[in-house]
Amino acid sequence: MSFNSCNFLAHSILSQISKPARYTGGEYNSIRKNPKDVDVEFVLSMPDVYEVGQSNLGLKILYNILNQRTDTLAERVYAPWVDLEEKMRENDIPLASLESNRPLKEFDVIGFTLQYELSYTNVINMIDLAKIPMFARDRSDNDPLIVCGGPCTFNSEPLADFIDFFILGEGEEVIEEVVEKVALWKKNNKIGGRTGILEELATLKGVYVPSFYEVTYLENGQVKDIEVINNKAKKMVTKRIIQDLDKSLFPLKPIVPYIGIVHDRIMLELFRGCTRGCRFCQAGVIYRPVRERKLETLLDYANKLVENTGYEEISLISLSSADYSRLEELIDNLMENFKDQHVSTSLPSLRIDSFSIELAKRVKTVRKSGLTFAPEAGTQRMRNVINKNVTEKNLEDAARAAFESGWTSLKLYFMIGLPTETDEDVKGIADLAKNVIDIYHDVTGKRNVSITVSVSSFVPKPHTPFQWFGQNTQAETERKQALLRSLIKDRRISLNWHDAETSFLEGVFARGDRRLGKVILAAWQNGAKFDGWSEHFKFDVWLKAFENTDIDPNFYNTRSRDFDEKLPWDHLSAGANKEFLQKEYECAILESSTPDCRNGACTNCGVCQNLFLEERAINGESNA
Amino acid sequence: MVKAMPKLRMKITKGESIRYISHLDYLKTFERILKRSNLPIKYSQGFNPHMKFSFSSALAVGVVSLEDYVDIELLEHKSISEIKRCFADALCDGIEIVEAFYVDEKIPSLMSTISQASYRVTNWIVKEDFEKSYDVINKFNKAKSIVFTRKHEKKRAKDIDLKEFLNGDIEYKLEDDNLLLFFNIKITPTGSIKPTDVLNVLVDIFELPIEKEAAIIDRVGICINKKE
Repeated sequence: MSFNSCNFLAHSILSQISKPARYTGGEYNSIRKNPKDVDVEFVLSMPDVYEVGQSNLGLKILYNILNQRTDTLAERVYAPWVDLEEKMRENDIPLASLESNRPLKEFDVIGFTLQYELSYTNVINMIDLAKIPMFARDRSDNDPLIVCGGPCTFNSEPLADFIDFFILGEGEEVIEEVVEKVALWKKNNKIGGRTGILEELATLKGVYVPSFYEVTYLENGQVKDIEVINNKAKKMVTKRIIQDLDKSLFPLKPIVPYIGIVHDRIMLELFRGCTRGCRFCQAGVIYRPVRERKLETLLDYANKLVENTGYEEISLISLSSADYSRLEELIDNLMENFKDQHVSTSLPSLRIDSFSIELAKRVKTVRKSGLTFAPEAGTQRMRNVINKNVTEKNLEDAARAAFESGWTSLKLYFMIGLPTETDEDVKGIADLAKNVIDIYHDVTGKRNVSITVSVSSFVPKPHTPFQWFGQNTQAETERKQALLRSLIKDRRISLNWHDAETSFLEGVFARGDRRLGKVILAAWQNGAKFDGWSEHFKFDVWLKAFENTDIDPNFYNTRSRDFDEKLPWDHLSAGANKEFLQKEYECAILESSTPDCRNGACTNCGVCQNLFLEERAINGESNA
Repeated sequence: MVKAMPKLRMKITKGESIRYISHLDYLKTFERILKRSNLPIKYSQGFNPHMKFSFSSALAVGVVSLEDYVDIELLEHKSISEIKRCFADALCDGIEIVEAFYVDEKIPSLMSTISQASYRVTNWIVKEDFEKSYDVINKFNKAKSIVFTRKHEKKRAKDIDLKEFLNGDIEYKLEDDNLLLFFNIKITPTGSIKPTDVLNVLVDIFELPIEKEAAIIDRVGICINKKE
């Protein structure tokens, strides 16, 4: 065969698969190092295709931090699409990295970011494609260490059998501590073997080694106890956070891909955390507390990023960018600085108020793609339950301002299946959409408006006030979807909803325990992968996997928990106290709201105290 | 009124490391290079201004080009050496500037002046098949007309005489275990053919003993009618 000199895949394979440039690397700002020059070799991965994985900011940050160390190299790998996987299996080709095309097996550490539960089968599929033993316990001293980070690690349990260790929280500092431990271990001839290095890693704050814990169960299937069985391991693993974002390394020379990716623009991260306290939201808890970058830092980064990438757009990202304390100033400065260079600024999310509309008018992307608001629920009662502090009037004002400024379409995001929800609340979604149409008519005198109503099914997540709540059954979700369809007949409203089957499965893994490992394995063995991609999602395979492993999915998703039940993730902490979460759930039932602590009083969630943050909230003002 | 500026014409490559990117991605990549170069590029007017540059022709995914031309409109004159300096750190793997010069701003577009593209196709082949390959190619070359049906996903299938679009014979050469084919495809205002069309005909009709999927296609040159 004639092989392409720069690739692990033959030209005859690359010429027959879709988007071959996903696998050939060499992008601008990608880094090639000689393995002989370093002590520790990392591969960073997201278990999804290149276009998705290459868009992840966390991986960009870690790639930069690891590669600026002279003793370390970091390369990348993403999930091969099904067409390539078929060729790899047919020709017995192991999964290799993008930078050096070396098999993953040759690296010291393989790190996956877990962004959503439905990527779990892809993790084990990639381990298998890399020809590394699937179960952590079967790996030898010469196999790579497999680590996972990202939001899903806050309940790592479903993957406990497959992963050597997990990192909870922000990785900037702890990843370097991991490198130092691994480098020392290798220098000392891998003293103590695999257990030796895992014991060392277990002493690091934020590191969770699942094999050092034993979980026992009650007869009713609930967790009885989570016991530490290795004295190097901590009883409670608490997440890591960066105290001062301005002092942490931000990637100012990010890779510029050759092919279009999901977020193909500069990602300027304004701040981390969100303290609005929406009770359904996991990100709101696990990324706390709020820490802003200084305006000066952001402007400096923006200059360098434009210079180093050639991108034509800067996206201001964070959990709720409109909350950045100096947003207006930031946008004005960016627009002024890059006017002549034709670099635009975009805001990915908007608050529901007229201030946001004013900002949206000035920036580009929203003008193209239309405005999106997330009232989340259709009635005021329901919004009080979830602590979404947006009133009917806020939304009316925002819609009015948008239509007055010339927009003719709006996208509205909602959830169904929230605690205490009645059919009245579901109906409220339709009413709200109709109300927006009336506002358009009132403002413009015309009828040519288009409203998109996007309705997802609520999946209760660990570490949130709703972590005890029983998810709606599939039948109930489908009934509510049908109800909504029957209520929305206006052709100017297009209604989208989430597939109830994927929400069902997401619900199982979100609050699952270790026993689900065998379900993941069984489903994968029967062909489950890319479950997050509707064209590959095989619900029947999953149902069969539950059946064959004798595991009842409803135990995990639709069952309500008592407050005193031991939860599978009770030894993993995002910093928030369980008492706080419980109190918030109780407030939800009482429909009483909890104000944002950003400007108001401390809500005693416990994050700042538990994480020893020096100040409660660090904002974008210069502290001088 | 901005006064007319000569166009910057550059001969560049789409090299091995970007063999597999599509033409659209190639354009985007080049646009980002231009942006990184910090050269004063002219933008179009209107709501969505874009950089004023144009390529000679599109290349398929999987095809490398040793010669490609691009015209760029600048806002102010820069010396060629200065231009090359601006590009030095801005270029990415696979894209090199072979030559840069100014042409009159009224020069017809590259797209309309390109008349021919030359290709090299590298095929792995077993020794026993050498003789047969020569016969096949000679037979191909002797044929006066070779009609094949081009199928389009959306358009209706069309019968095309391959020979009308080939300039001269297919030449061949053995190098190690590879059979190298060289041919020139005419690019006319009414259309052209793809190198894979030639390959398909050679394998499917003339039974050339090679594996089509493994054939490596490189565009080695293009002809433009130079009117300075």
